[in-house]
Amino acid sequence: MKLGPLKVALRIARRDALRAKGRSALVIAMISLPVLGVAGADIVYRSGQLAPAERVERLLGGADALVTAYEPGSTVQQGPFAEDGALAIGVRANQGPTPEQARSAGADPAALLKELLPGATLLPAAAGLNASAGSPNGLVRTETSEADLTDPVWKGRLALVEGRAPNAAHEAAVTREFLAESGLHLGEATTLKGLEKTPFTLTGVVEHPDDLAKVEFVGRPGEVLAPLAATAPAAAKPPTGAGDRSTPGKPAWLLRLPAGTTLGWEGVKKLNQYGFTATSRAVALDPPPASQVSYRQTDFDSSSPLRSDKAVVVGTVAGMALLEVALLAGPAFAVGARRSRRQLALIGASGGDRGHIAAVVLGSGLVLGAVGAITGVALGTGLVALTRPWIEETGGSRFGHFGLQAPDLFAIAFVGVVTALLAAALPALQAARQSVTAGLTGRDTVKPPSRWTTAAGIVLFVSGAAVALLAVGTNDGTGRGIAVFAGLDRMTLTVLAGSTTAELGLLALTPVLIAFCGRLARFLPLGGRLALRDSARHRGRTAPAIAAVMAAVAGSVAIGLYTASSDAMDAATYRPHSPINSVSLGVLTDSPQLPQVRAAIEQDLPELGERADLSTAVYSWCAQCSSNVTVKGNNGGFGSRALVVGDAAVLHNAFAVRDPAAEQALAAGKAVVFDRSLLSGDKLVLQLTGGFVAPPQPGANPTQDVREIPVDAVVVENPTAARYGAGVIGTRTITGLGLTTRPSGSVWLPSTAPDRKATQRASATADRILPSALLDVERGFQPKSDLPTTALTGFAALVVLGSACIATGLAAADSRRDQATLAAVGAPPGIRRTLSGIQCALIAVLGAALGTVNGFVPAVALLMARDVANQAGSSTIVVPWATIGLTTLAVPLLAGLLAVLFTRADAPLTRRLG
Amino acid sequence: MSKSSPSRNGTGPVLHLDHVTRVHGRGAAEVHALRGVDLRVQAGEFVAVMGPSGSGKSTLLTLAGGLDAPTTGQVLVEGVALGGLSRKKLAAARRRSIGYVFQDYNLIPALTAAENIALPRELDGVSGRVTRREALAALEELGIPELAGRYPDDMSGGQQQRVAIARALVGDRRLVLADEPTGALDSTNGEAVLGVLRARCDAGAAAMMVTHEPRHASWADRVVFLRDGLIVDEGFGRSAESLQTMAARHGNRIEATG
Repeated sequence: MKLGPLKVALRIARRDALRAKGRSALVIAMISLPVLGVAGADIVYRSGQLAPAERVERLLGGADALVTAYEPGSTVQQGPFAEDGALAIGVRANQGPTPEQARSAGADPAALLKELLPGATLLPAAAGLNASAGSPNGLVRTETSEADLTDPVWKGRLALVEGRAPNAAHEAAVTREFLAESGLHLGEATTLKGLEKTPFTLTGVVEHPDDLAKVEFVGRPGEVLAPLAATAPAAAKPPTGAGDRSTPGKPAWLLRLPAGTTLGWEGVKKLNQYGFTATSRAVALDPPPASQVSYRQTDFDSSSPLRSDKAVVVGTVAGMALLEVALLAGPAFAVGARRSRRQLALIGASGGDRGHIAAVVLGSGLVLGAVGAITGVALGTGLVALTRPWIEETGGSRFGHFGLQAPDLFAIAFVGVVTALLAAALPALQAARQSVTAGLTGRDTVKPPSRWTTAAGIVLFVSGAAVALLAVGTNDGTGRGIAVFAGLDRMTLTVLAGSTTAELGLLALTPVLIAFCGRLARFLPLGGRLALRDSARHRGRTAPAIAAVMAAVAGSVAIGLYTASSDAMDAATYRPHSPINSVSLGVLTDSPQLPQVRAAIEQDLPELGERADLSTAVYSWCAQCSSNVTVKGNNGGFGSRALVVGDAAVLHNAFAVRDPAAEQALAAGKAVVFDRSLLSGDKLVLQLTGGFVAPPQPGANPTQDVREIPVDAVVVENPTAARYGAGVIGTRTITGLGLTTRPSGSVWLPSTAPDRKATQRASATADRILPSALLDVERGFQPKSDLPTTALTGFAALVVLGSACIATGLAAADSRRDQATLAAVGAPPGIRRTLSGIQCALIAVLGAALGTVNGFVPAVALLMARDVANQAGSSTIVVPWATIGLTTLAVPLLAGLLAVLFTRADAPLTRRLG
Repeated sequence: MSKSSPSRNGTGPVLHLDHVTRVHGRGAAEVHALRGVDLRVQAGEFVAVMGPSGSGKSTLLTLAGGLDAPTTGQVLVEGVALGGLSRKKLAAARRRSIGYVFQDYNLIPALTAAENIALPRELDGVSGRVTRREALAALEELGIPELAGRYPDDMSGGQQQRVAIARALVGDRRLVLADEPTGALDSTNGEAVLGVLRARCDAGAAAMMVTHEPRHASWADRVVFLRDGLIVDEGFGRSAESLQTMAARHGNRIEATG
């Protein structure tokens, strides 16, 4: 099209947009909201990406370089930023140390550094030991460091944000998080554990711009680190892990070089030969070419498929959002085109072709999309600027700069405009196809839905569903789990492709389904008839709204159905490893700390009840060699199915068995078993596995010395208890057989399982006392997190409500004249509300019903796929009635009620009706 | 209902406009559409309203139909003041007592001809079977029974107008108000429609019709001339020619709406 007609189209579109202010505002809001969100996220992301100069400032403050004694005695390889990683290469085998390695091996790093960089001033910048600071809230764990904050060299690396820099003896600065955790305030004093004699007065608040959450105590040079190190026990270790600042625990210095000198790449490489790493301002701002950097950052992060997974998820979500917005905004353009159909017909009558008419409607999309996109970007920028401190604190680091990336923002705005154009496309096509006479006379001859579209819809739906379901049915499970694309295997991809095709088919069928519903209208009372026929007549605005609802509900139902069904299957196949609610403490080896752990757990988890201490029977066949005693005939005799040594309490807690006869037998020295098949006659046979009979020979199975000891046993037939273990035997019986026992833990069986928080606390306590202790609570089957289902259902509900209400609002605006007529012939005042309510509920119900049908396809196919993969029988399909009921009944009803509430009851009796 | 029982109380007119004024807008934008109109239409009487553009004809009709309320004065239909009715009762009056024919038909596009005609009765709660029978009878009366199942968009302007008239007549309405009912019709069809209105009045209803066509006004028992919101003249049983002369005297150009 030439530019002239396009200008006319845009001019008309602009004026139309100004005339229909309400509708324009609706579309602008729909376009601008997602644009706002994405633009805001982009700005936050870009602002967090530091430019080299910003990184240098955060690392070096005002200094010229940061040097760390990384590995004295070794040679180091590094990149321009040493904090990105470094590699220490020790003395090569069969070679002596290099002169530099030899020089640095025993030297004082600071003295060596001064020697290597004559004239440089060194400011210690190492982080110290973790310490505990006294506060009203008890002891607070804190990192420690030293800095002379009166020296401007720290500015940028460690910012003083409140109070003043410590400038007298035993004054200190702390981070805001330190204050928050300790409950201390500036001006108050605190002590560090081990240095109680010298309290520190807090004079200032500092922050690390890229780690706002750090709990840190910053003392003056010489006042904290050395004294703390002197008092620390040998076991205390400095924090480990690759810090992105000066490497924790290793001596580091900020360097000031003599005026006029810089530390170039060659200088850095020289320091590397002495085991130092260095980040130099000069190098960071003017990095050497890659050919000169021998260090290559090893990419241990094998997340490339993960990244593509994420890209697919982000892409899918963005695509869905785009489609939803286009579908939601579509009706607004359809109504706009309908209301200006006379004007469009006049363009046709004045010589405009179909292209010109479509251009006017598309022009509306362009104008409103552009305004929406610009508004969205502007609001997103403004919002990030306004909430910047809050975002920085939530994210844990300060922005390097306010990252407005023009290409990004332009691309986001462009997507917004494309969405609006997409929304206007179908109405434009319909407007272009309208006959000029029909437009001029204001007639709305309702054409039946296109047969081709209907046929295509049926073919797509049937073939899509068939592909999804049959592909799984005929699959033998090979290739399962092998990622073909974006981390998804072939079967999942087939299912997704099939169900997407089926959904597209239903989308194409929406108009014909609406038309069909319109035909049913004759059987309804007046309100329903009018609402249904009106929706059917104006498919242009009804179909996209229904499609929007359908897409959202399909997703929610698919996930809900899949989760509910797979949860049901998991629940059915779940086997608890100890009685429900039981609290088990397990240790791998005996430890003198075990009684302490037991006591700590009983303290952290009150009301655990009787404790049962478990032991394992051990067979020692030489001074250093032993093995666990097993039970003959116990095929699953590993772990929980092992023989437990203990008393009646073990029967109660570890097996949930209360049987006086069994307890008596146990006390009398007999074993108690829960599965008769374990007995040979009336004896339980213990197997003692000893060493190899002969030294193992290559190619031959080594033979072990196995001895068998029959013991008296009673049977308590209890299949559930049999799953928890083979049986129980008394300590005295075991020792009587010349065997030993080793404590293996304890079990409690409270009436209700302790809550998760308390369990975590007890677990941490146990871990602190005895790292090998494992605390476990058997809570029975725990369904998967239903957060995604809830989120999707919430989203679907929102789309159902939004879509139905928008379409109804537009329909009400569109049929103002009909409503005036209704009022004029005596319709009661509430009829407007009734009509709106019915119409709104109708769109919601129809969309939700179609969405539900559509949601079943992928869910059932994926469940079948799961069965094939697990080689299990067919899954029970558990329909999440609550979700479906919510989206197909409750939400539509709510939509209808909202429409009733928000529709003005009084009919717009226009002044001039005729 | 017979001519001898003109209103609910049996004595008064079917329509009574009692010193009615209607002012649109405020301040500088104030427009006095009617400046104190007194008019009575008796049962069995057919009144035509003529006048130049802006004389207040359509305002008069909408006030009489209860679609708008007068600024001062009152409108009584069958002796009941419309101003005193609740919105619900006013709506009931519109569907039971008043039939209104709009200049551009105002049929509901989503309803068939029969359904459009049955609409007021259906809104009144009358059973579907009865309303359909009544609608078909009304279509028969107007000579268009074949249109019953057609939608407005599939009908010509003349057909739509006849359906609109049928909708105004159905259910024994006592007052029929028509705004240029023949505007879209050729002369034959126009005359037929006027014949139907005439017959309805002969059967005891009252009718008021706005028209700019002296020939059509001659079907009325009485012709009222409006100018600047006031009744300036009346004529009884006049021929089309004499009405033409009167019209020319009361306005340079008489138009359909005013």
